[in-house]
Amino acid sequence: MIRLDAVTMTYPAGSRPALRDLTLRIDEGEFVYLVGQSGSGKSTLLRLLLREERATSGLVTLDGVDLAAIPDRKVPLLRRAVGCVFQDFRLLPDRTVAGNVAFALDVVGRPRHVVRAVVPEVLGLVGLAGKEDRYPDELSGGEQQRVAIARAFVSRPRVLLADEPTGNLDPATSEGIMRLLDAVNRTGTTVVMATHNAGLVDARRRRVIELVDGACVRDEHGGAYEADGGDDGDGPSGGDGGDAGDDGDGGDAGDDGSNGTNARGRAGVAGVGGLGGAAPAGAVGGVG
Amino acid sequence: MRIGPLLAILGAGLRRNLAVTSAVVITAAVCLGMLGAGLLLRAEVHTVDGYLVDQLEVVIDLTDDITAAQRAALTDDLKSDPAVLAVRYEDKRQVYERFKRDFRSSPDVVAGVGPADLPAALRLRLVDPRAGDAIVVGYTGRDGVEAVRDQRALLRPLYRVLDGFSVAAFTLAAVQAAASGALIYTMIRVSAHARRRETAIMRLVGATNMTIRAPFVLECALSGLAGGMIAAAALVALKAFLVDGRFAHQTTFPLFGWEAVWVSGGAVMALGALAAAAMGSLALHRHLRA
Repeated sequence: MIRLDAVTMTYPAGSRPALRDLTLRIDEGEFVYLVGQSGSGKSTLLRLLLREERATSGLVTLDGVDLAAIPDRKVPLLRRAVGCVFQDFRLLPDRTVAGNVAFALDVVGRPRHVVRAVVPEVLGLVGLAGKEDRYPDELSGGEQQRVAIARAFVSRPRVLLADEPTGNLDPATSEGIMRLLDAVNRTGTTVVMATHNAGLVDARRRRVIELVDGACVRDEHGGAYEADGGDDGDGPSGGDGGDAGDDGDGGDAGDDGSNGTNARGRAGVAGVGGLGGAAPAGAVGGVG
Repeated sequence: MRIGPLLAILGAGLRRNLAVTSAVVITAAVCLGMLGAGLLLRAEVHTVDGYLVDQLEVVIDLTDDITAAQRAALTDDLKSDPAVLAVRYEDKRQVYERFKRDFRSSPDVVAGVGPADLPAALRLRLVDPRAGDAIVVGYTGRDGVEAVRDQRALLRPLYRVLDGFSVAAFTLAAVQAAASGALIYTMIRVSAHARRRETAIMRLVGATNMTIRAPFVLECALSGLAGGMIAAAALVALKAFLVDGRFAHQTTFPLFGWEAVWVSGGAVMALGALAAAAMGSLALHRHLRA
C-alpha cells in the first residue's frame, strides 16, 4: 500500500539529508511504529506521506500512485484518504467537540445529513458520547486527543498517520489512546505512528521501523522499542493495557461492531490511486 | 463546501477582525465615493454637452463688402458640404435683434451697439455638432468671410473646469484606493495569522485551496461591497439633497439625472467588491500557504 523506494529527502536549508536512501513497504491494514531519536526523520517521513513535502530523490507511492507526481490541485483528494493526528492535538478552541469533528467533513463539502449522522457515531466510537457540546479547554489531554483522532477518522481514511500522539499524555491516558488507535487499525485502517514511548511499543509487539539519521536501521515485525528486545510491556510508560485513565474508557471502537474492512466499503484504489473522486464520502456511510 | 459552514467561518472571521474590517470599509467608502463623484461629474459634462450641442451653431461672419455673387457662392459651397445640415442667412438687422435678445440683461452693452456695428452672418447647423473645427479651418479666409466662430468652443472652459474636478476626484480616489489596498493587505495578514490553525487543519483534512481561500476572499469582497454601498448611498444623498434640492434652481444648465446615479452607484459597488476580492487574493498568495 505504502512504498518508499530509495527515498532521500534534504530540506532546502538543511546540510544533511533528513531521510537517506530509505526503502520500505507497508501493507494495507498494518500497524507500524516509527521509532528513533528526535531528528531521525520520523516526522519527515510522515510529511512525505501527506505530500506536505516532496522527496529530493526516490519514489513515494500510495496504492501505486507516485505522490510527487500528484498535481497540487489534487493533493486535497490524497489528504482525504490519509488522516493525521499530532502530539499537540490541533483542535479549534472556539468549536465544540462535535464542531471540531464536523469541521473535517464540512470543509470537504459533505452534505449536512451525512455530517449529522456520522459525527455522533464517531464520537461514540472514540468514547466521547455525551461530550459533544464541550469545548476543547473543558477536556482532559486524553479527551482532546480522542477528539483529534475522531476528526482524523471521521472521513474514514485508508491511512492514519500519528506523530507522537501520546507525547503530551500521562502513561495511563496514553494507553487509552493506544487502545483507540488499535481499534481504528482493526477497522482496516493502516496506522503509522511515530513515537518515543518505549512502553507502548514494547507492550504490543507490532512492526517497528527504526530510523537513525534518516536511514532505516531496523524493520522488525513483532519488535520492541530497542533493537535488543523489549521488556514485554513493563517499560517506563507502564504499557500494560490498563484502563484509559482520566480520559474515559470508551475507546474500543473495534469492539462495537464497526470493525471489518468490508463494512465500510473500502475506498480501494479510488481513494488515492484514482484521485478522481471523494471515495471516503461513500465510506462514511458505513460507520458503525 | 456548503454555504452554511462557509458563512459560519466568514462570520467568525469578520467578528474577529472587526476593527481592521471597519477601517477597510471606511477607506473603501471614501475611495469609491470619490470615484462615484468623478463619474457623476463626467455624467454632468455629458448632460450639458448633450443639451447644448443641438442649440449651438457655427457662425460665419460676413464682411460688409461681400458681393452678392460671393455670398451665393459661399452659400452654395456650404449647402453642398456633407458636414453641413442647414444654412441660414441673417442680415445685419436680424443679427442686431439676436444680439439685443442675448444681452437683454446688459442694457449698457446693448446701448453702445447699433445694427451697423454687427456683421451679417451665415448660421450653420452641422450634421455632427462636435465637428465644428473642420468648418472653421475650411472656410476661414474665404472671400467675404470675416470670421468663422464655433459656438461650441465657448463651452470649452466650462468643460475644462468640470473635467478638472472629475480628474481631481479620480486622483483622490486613486490615493484612497492605495490606502484601501494596503489595509486589505493588512487585513489578510492579520486574518491569516489569526486563523493559521484553522487553515492548517483544513489543509490536513483535504480541503481544496479554493475552500481554504474562499472565506478570506469573501471577507474582502464583503468589505469592499459594504464600502461601495456606503459610497452609493452618499451619491444618492448628493443627488437628492444637493443637486435636486439646491442646485436645481440655481443653474440654467440641465443636471444629471437619476440614471447616472444608479449607474455610478452600481459601478462603485461592483468595483468595490471585485477590487477588494482581487486585492485579497493577491495578499493571500503572500500570507496563506496553499
